[in-house]
Amino acid sequence: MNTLTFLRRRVLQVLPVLAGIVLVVFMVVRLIPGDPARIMLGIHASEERLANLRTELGLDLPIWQQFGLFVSNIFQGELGTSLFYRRDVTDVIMERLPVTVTLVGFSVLLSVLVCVPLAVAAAMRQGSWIDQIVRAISTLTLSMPGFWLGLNLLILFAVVYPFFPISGFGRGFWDILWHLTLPAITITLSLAPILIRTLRASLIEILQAPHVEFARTKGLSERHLIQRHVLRNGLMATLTILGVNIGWLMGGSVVIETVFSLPGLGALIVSSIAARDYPMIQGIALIFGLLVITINLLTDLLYAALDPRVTYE
Amino acid sequence: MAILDVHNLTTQIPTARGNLTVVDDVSFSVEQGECFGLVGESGSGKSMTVKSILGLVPAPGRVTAGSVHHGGHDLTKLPGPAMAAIRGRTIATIVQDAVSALNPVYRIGRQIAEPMLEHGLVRSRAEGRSRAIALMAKVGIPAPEKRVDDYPHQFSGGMCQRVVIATALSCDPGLILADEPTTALDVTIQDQILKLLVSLQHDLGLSLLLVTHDMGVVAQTCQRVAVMYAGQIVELVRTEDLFRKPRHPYTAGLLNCVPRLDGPARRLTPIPGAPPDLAAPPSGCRFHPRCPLAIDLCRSGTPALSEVAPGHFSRCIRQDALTADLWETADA
Amino acid sequence: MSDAALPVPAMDRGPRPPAHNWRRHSGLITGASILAVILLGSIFAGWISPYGPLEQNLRNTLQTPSWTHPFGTDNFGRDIFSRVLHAAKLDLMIGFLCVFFPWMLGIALGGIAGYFGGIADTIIMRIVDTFSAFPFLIMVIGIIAILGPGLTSLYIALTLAGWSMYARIVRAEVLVVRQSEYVLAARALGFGHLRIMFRHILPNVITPTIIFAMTDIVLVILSTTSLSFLGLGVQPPAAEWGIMISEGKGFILTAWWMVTLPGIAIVIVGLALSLFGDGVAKWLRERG
Repeated sequence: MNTLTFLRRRVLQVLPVLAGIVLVVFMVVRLIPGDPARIMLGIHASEERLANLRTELGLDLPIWQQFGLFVSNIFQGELGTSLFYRRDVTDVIMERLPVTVTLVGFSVLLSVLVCVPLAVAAAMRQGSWIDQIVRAISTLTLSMPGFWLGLNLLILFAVVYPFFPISGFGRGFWDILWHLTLPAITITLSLAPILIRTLRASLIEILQAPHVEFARTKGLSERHLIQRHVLRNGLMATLTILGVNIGWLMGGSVVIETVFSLPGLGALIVSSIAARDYPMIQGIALIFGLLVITINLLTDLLYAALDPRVTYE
Repeated sequence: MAILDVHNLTTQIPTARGNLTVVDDVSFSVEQGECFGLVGESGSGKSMTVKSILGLVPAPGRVTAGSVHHGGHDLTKLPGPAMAAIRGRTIATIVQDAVSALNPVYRIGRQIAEPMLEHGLVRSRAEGRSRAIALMAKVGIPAPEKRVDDYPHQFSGGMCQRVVIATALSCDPGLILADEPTTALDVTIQDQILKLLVSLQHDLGLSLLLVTHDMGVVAQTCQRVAVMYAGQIVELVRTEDLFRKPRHPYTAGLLNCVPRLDGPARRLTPIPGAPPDLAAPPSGCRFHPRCPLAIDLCRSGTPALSEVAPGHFSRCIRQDALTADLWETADA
Repeated sequence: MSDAALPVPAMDRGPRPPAHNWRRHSGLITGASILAVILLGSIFAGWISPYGPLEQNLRNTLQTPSWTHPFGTDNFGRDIFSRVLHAAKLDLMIGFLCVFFPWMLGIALGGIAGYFGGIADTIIMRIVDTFSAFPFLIMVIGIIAILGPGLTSLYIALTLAGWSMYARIVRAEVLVVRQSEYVLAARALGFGHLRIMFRHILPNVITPTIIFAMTDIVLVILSTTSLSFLGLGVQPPAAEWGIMISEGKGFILTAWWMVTLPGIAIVIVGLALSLFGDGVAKWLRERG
């Protein structure tokens, strides 16, 4: 089977999950006890506003019609109106989406650049002092809450030594990078324990694999051995770990964006929950679901590109 | 002229229970164009001997004594890069599990050509690829031009072993170390691969060090053979002499375990007992606890490998008392 | 015929003397000791802490750590050390309860699914699969989004997000134990299901759940502090580590101790629990 068929098959597999997410998000808002309109607008809302909202949400329609309305709205990109911002949910989300995506992307890149070499060093020299230090630091940062780490980094590098900005996203490529450095380092430090530990274990396994031993008998230099026969296979392990932890990463971005006052989706969902802005919460939940599914799909495709056994049926 | 000269090779592995001497004072040589067999049970040290020759003993084990002469160098004294220059180039290796030996993410043409590129025998991937096709044809892989771009999972076990052999041949080595090349294969494929190895050896004038536990393989392919037990060589002689008249009780025991189609049917008797713990081997002759011929001197002395007949070496001081029915059980 | 004794393989040299080897269990002991200190401190927080956790002193705000205020004071003049101690009580209690409830719920449902099989198994496992599909923190935030922020919501959210793993573990163990001889013997003797489940099956499937609970409690405490930091969990003015750090966020320019010191408490508790948990796991595994 070639790549196109594989891609088509994976996309088809994803559709029911997407449908499930839409259904769950729809149901969740209607699970709240009480009159949704009153909950959203507050106790002091006028009857007129309540009636308007009920019509807009279609709350007096039978439930399956409500669902139909909901789905068709989604296809039109209509996610409702934010109660807090009094603007289209879609607009607000689209403004903030790039921030979150950039943050997560930059953090993943940094994590890979930092953790993979460390894991390789630790795996190659098992038991040495490098290995011990790496593992000790991992255990330490594992117990540290991300928000505390981030704040301490802020204190050290934005207050005591004012090297980095305290908050905000910035404008322009380098400015944004500068603003995102401390947040990305925080996420890397939080992800590092899991990533390094699992990767190190995978690499140790790979280093003892028969194909590595055989490659040695071919007379390959250590450098070529690592580059071609260890890293390539280890990269697949990295990808798997990252893919599995993507949900965790999204959860982490919520906290980090709050700590560093980044105008992203994570901070938005927190403020929306506090403000009971249900249309917004709904919209963000959908977008998050969509993001996770897309990232999983991309991970699968990347994996298939790296490992020829996957597309072969 | 010997292409490989092993003198008093000793390899030890430190463990929590003490130092395991997995290769103990092993000496033999492989002549040019010869097929030399190294035979023994699992744990006898034969694979470790091969690893020691290649300088690939897994840490924390290491070669602690002896020398391995090849191409004018002592391999045990060579630094890493110099040793890597020899591996795959003048000494090639064939492994037992060919399927696992191939990296699943690379095409096999590239894996066959890899040693050639590494040692500078070809200058480009394209050149390597065409040489790989030729090698695949030589080892009997059908339609090599089509299959050179396939991945290992698309090959059967026997085909993978042919790929491994092709890889070993790629740099025109003088010596091939084959560690149980047929053990993981079906019997019919085993036969094919063995015949392939023998014919390649003849055609290319290769020397072959064949490690195996199967006496039948030895009989089919090797001119001379060394029998290993508990890390030591206990007997070393021409193959036909070994089968005709073994001069060590262990060898006799091994031969006794092989069912024969000629002659009357008889009970197969395994050698009683188990191989010794290498951290605390028995005193004197390592085999004495299991040997029907053992006497006090076997326990106290240190029997050395000596020439007990022309070209026939044995470590047994009682080998003249060896009879054909040594291992027959009472009610056989 | 030789009378030489066959060599005794290393394994058969007889049982090793029981190793009351404190070094082997050093992690367990260290972790347990630190935890004991913290637990005692939190239980007796009312007696030990020099000030009340909510006691304000607006003339004494944002004081650096000193002899009278070992951890300094916050923007309301509250003694941070006292608040950290009282927060220990709250956070540890939430940590324990929010592992205990999922543990019970998971064991109950997983046990039923594994023991009775059939349609109960199918239904329960579908539910488990659904709950497991969502990342932990996301699900917790989601449930709090529905119920509104607050302590009760926190309990409910953490319990609902956490029980599915226990159910999976228990079901897998029960499936194995169900076939064992003593269970079959008990059934043959006509013992009722309930008796079999409690007396025969449960004691044998509990160990893996306890091992998992040890790591779970660290996760729960970290989640609690994170959620409270975000304002979605415990609400101010309660003394809780996450809240204290959140309140300190606005004062990082002037009062770093508001942020750093409560966090150190979290790290110490986390490390101690990890050490203790790993030690318990090791001990349980060695016991067989």
